[in-house]
Amino acid sequence: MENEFFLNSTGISQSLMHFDSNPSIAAWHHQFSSAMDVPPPPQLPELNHSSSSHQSPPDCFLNPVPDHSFQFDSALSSMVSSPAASNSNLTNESFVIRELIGKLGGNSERRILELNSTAALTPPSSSVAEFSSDPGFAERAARFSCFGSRSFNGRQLTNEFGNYRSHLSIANGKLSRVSSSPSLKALGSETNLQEHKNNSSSQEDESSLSNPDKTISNPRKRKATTKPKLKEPVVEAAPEKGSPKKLKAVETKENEKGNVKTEEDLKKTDENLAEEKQTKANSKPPEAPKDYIHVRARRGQATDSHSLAERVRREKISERMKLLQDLVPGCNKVTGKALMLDEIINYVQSLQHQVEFLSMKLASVNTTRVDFNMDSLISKQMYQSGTSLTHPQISPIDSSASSFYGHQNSSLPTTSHCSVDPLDSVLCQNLPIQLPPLNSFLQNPSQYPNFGEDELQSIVQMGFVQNQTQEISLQSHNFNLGSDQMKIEL
Amino acid sequence: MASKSGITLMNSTSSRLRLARTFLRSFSKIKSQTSATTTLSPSSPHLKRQSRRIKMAAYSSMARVAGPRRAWARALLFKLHTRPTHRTLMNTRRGGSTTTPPSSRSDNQVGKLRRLLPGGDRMDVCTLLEETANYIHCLSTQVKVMKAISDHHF
Repeated sequence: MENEFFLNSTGISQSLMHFDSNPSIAAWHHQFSSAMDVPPPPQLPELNHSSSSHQSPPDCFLNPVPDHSFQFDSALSSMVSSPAASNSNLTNESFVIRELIGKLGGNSERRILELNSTAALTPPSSSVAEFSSDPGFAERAARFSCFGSRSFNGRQLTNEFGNYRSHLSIANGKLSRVSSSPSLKALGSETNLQEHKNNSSSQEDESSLSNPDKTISNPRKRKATTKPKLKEPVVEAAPEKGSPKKLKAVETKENEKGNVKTEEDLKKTDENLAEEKQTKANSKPPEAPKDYIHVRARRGQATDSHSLAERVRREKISERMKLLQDLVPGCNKVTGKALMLDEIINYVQSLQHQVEFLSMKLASVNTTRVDFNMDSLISKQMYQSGTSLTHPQISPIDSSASSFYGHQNSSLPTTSHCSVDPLDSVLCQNLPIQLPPLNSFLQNPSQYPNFGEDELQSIVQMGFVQNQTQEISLQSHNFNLGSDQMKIEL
Repeated sequence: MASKSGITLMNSTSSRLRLARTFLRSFSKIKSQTSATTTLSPSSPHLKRQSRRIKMAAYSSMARVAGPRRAWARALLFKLHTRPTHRTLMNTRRGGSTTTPPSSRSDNQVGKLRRLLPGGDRMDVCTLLEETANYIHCLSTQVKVMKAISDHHF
């Protein structure tokens, strides 16, 4: 029974409006007016407090001056307007307008009577042009509330009031949470493609939703409603949370009203939801693409916050791994994260060893010469680092030697003299012959017992350049064991 | 290596320049101090001490060039600054830190990387990889600079 009610809610609400016709309204009206005529008892401020503790200003966008009785006014106006609404085609429009007017108007039932008269007569005028899209929203609101309440069926039964009003108020209170729950998101993500269409043709959707028996469009609509809710909780939370509180408060005050009032409240919640819908729909189109950039889940992927976060983390890690892959030389051929990490670790270790080794080598440098060369070296370093890229590869060494040597040498001849070039050609010719003996003599220095490949290469490089500088400047070195050998070979 | 280093060079000629300058400054300072105190004694303890000093200078210049925004640079500078005064304290702390994260032990590769990277034992995997990339970049630059210096001097 309840499920039925919530599934095609619009029809039911219409019927409720019908049911809500004259005698019951008259009775309720009487009671309510008596309650209003009494100067506001100490309960009323309490009510206001209870409502305003959960939301900053109750219905602030509708009523700038919060009044004690405007809650009742709204209820009254909705009640009063309901028969007219059920009769006319412009139902929801007119009664939301009337409710707004009732809220804006202060307190008295005289005004409500005026409203009644105007409500029966007024077509939607230019002052209410902003509510032109209302009927669809009202329908959607009704459905939305149904959706919310359907998921909380278990809770309704345990509710102490046990009628539709409490029922709906719970649904209203839970709406925001329900809309952001993962199941909804999953539904939304499944209907992702449909949803784009939905945004483009939202007007059509609304019109189609006004048919009560179209249950096919349900997921689409859910999707459309979940999105803006995530974006602006502040605007919507106020009326949403406010309405059940108000309703409950009123109910506790006038508990003896019974059935008639439940329908009043039903309608009232519908109207509140309609307003919420409207505020949402105003901000709907620009916000639509944003959510899907941030939280993206493809079909079949989990949509928990945890799994989403985990996916983001994995994407980050793979991105970093790609960056490292570009940085570490041997990493391009390797597939698999573990092997790549191995490569990276080896490379870092080799670099650290190289730093250690080079520091040892630099410690063994002849100190007097260091002091002598320091100023020139700084300038040359600057020159090197500045021009080693733009500098054309001077020597033909680069063509014959591997690219590693080529890079090293591209910076080194700039530090040496101009007379390198003929030497380089000689070196270039002798290079393939030269390398094996170089490797052999590299075993000789006992200072550096453990050589990696990189260190071997660096030593080869070192000996190579040593040879050049020796040939040029004819200086003797203490540590260069292989220089004589090299010279002999050259 | 050559093509990659060429790329990194293109990206960071200025950082390489700064690194070379800072390292050369500290290196010349070390050399002048040692030449003032001891005149050219190739004995092994002296050499070892000096090489350690040069290594520390190299690492500290790297960290200074990388800047305080890098976690590894901060950790490295902290380590280098606190090591001579509180060596035993640092040793105990380092031993404790290696034993404290058992999760990194289980994940073998990442644990190794954590131990290699200065300050890596307090990072999650994402930042660890990012810092590793930056560290590798700086380290390779440092190696190039040191190589150039040594090649020049020999």
